[in-house]
Amino acid sequence: MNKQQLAQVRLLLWLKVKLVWRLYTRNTSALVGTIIAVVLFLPFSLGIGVACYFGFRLLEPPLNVQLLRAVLVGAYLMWLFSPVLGFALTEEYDLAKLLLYPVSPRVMVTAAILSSVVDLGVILLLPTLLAAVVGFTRNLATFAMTALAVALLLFHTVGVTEVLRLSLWGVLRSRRGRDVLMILGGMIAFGFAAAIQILPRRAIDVNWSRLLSGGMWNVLDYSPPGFAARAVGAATDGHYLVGLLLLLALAALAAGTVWVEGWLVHLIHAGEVITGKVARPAAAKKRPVRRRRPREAALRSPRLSIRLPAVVEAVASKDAKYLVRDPYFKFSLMGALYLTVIFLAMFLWHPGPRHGELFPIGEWMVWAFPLFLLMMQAQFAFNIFGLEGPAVSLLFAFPSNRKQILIGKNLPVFVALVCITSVFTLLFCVVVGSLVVFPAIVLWIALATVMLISVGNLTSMWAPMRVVMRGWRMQVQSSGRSMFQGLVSLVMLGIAGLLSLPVVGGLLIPVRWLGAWWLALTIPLVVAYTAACYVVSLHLAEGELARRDVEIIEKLSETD
Amino acid sequence: MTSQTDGYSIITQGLTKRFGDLVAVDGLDLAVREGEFFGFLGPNGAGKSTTIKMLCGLLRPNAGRMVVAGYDAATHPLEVKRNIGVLPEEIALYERLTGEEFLVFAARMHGLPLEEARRRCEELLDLLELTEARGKLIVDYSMGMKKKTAFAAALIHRPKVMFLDEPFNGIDPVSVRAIRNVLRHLTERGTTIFFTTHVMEVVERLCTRVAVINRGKIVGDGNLAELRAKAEAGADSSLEDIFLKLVEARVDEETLSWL
Repeated sequence: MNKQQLAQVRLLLWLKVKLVWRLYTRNTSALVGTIIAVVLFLPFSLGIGVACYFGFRLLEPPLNVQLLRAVLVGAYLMWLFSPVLGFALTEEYDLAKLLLYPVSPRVMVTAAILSSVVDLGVILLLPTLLAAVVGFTRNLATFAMTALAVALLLFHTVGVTEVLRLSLWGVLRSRRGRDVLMILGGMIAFGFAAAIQILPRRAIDVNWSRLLSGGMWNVLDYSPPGFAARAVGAATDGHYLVGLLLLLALAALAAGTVWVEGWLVHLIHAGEVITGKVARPAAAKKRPVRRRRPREAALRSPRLSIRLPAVVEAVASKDAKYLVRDPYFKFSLMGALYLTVIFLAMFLWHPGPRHGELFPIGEWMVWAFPLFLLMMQAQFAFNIFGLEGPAVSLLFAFPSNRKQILIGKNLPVFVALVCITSVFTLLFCVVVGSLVVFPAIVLWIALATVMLISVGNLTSMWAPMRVVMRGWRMQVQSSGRSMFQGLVSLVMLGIAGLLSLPVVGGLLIPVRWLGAWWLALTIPLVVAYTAACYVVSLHLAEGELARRDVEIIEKLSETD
Repeated sequence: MTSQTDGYSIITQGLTKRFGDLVAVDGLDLAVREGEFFGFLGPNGAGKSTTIKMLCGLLRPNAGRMVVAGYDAATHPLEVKRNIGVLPEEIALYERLTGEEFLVFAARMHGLPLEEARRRCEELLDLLELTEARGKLIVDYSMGMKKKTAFAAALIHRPKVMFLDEPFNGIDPVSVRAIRNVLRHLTERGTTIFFTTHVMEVVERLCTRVAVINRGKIVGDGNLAELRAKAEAGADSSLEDIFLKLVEARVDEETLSWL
């Protein structure tokens, strides 16, 4: 790097620090979210760091080096998988904006990697890396070599994560790619859940001691974290030359990562895409316009069978299309399927007595299962303007009745949540043998959904969040803000749960203890109670919307 | 560069860009002289912004050659960027910096010493009437102020060629006048201005030469008289008339049935 390039790297480091600082000083929710993340995760991070330190110090060689290798491989894999899952452990500035300036891709990449030290993902990793440095330091030489090994590995890891993220750029942005990732991610999650169920119950006999002492783990010695661990091990054994050679290999890998990432930045940003939007102009072809006759048009236009006010119908029909086209909806469907399979696996493993009207576990599960499904999909109800993005200003510009807009937004969410949850619950009831209670469960699902929507309307006013799909997770512009949003959603979910207690009581108590005929009395009561909750929520949300519409537009139009 | 490029700031030969089946820019041949105020016109989706992005190194062409400010854009992209200033269609600013911080940042990215960057920043803020807002974050600026800041950032390193995509959109008349004066001053000193707009009056007033692009191809190139001849338009026809003829726009009297 020449003098000019070093000056540019310094300038970009300044830019990153400034942007991160301003993010927190200008955005309270981002600051609060980050503080919550630090409070939640820093103790874990420090705990792992301290445990690792004692492990490195107290274990006899080569066990301590093997522990270091395992820890570094774990951290490395976690970082490597993060872009596939849609997470950005570093929050880089928009590289596309830098393409206007005479700055080479390698300079951009080097600065982005170096500046990641102020990102939460790296900060949380530092205690473990620091433990390695302190734990393996015996003299000045081992200190220098361990510090260098850890620094080079961190540099390479951050770089290679970005390489993966950039490589997946096109895949994550394409609908098909996202669908594939959703299935893949779901299968990994399902496999993990199945393994948790199967392995501790000794369903498959695994000889763990033989497995862990097997030579196959030595393959990891040839991975980047393996190079780092071996370099540290060689240094502590006094084999400095071997250690230096391994560090050289690691340095070459780090340099290679920068080269590949720089090439990718050039290829992706300067090649096809700029400022995050596909630069694909609309075709300027002239096509003859065929005017449909009114009767024909009326027959073809989608129309809800129930007569609804025009605003409600327009908003509901628009939102229904949005929902179906949104990748998060597909993700939700996949999630519901996996949850069903996991619940069924749990049940089949512990089916309980095969006699009697209902199995003990199944009896409770059929009531609890829809709740889990609804909780998974609560985001639809808790952030009703999320999919709008900046277009919400257009929605609010219409002089329409705010209550009707809210009802229009609630309707498709209600239909989607009730349908998805009912279908999967039916499947569950059939397998469990509780089909007899299914009608009551459907009513429970419908009422619980209305309660969720009632609470969600107010949550949507107080904590609106722009929904962006990253891989197969939803994300706001910064991790801090999503943490804040998650906390608010959790609190509101609790409130929805409390409000739903009379409903579940009104349905479950007659079915389980009093006798089904009591339902004739309790059903009208719980329906009236739920309807009252919805009406109150609608009234409050309408007032909040009138007061906070400008803030909602601001929140949904924000970009980092 | 070869003597073929002497006296020219922008040369393209057979420049082509495809997006799947759509040919956005189709074998574009252009030659813009140094110090020329060059207007690049066309209807929506004609390929104007795609052409500018390719010339600025923000989009890679599928075929063809581009020489900008004396450098081949394919082989010397950084040299090209060092010598050009760009005001893109979609303004890209670091909005959590203040206007002043951003301008100094842009100048420093072009290698200007800090003192010089600050001096130029002062003058630009004053000229574009942004002095009072210098300490405010860009995120709090109006659209016009953001545009003026982006223009200042494109100008601060005194580029040899400026690419301006709809530069006057959303800017108040006072600042438009100031920017026009700056642009005139720049062309007098040899800077080439390559700009697009849909406001024909601005083109007639400022441009020394105009090219009209339609469906990715140049359909007219020259000064007003040459374009008039090419379009076979009357002697008193305006640039708007010429433009509509060149792009074969439909100007029939058909209207909406429900009006």
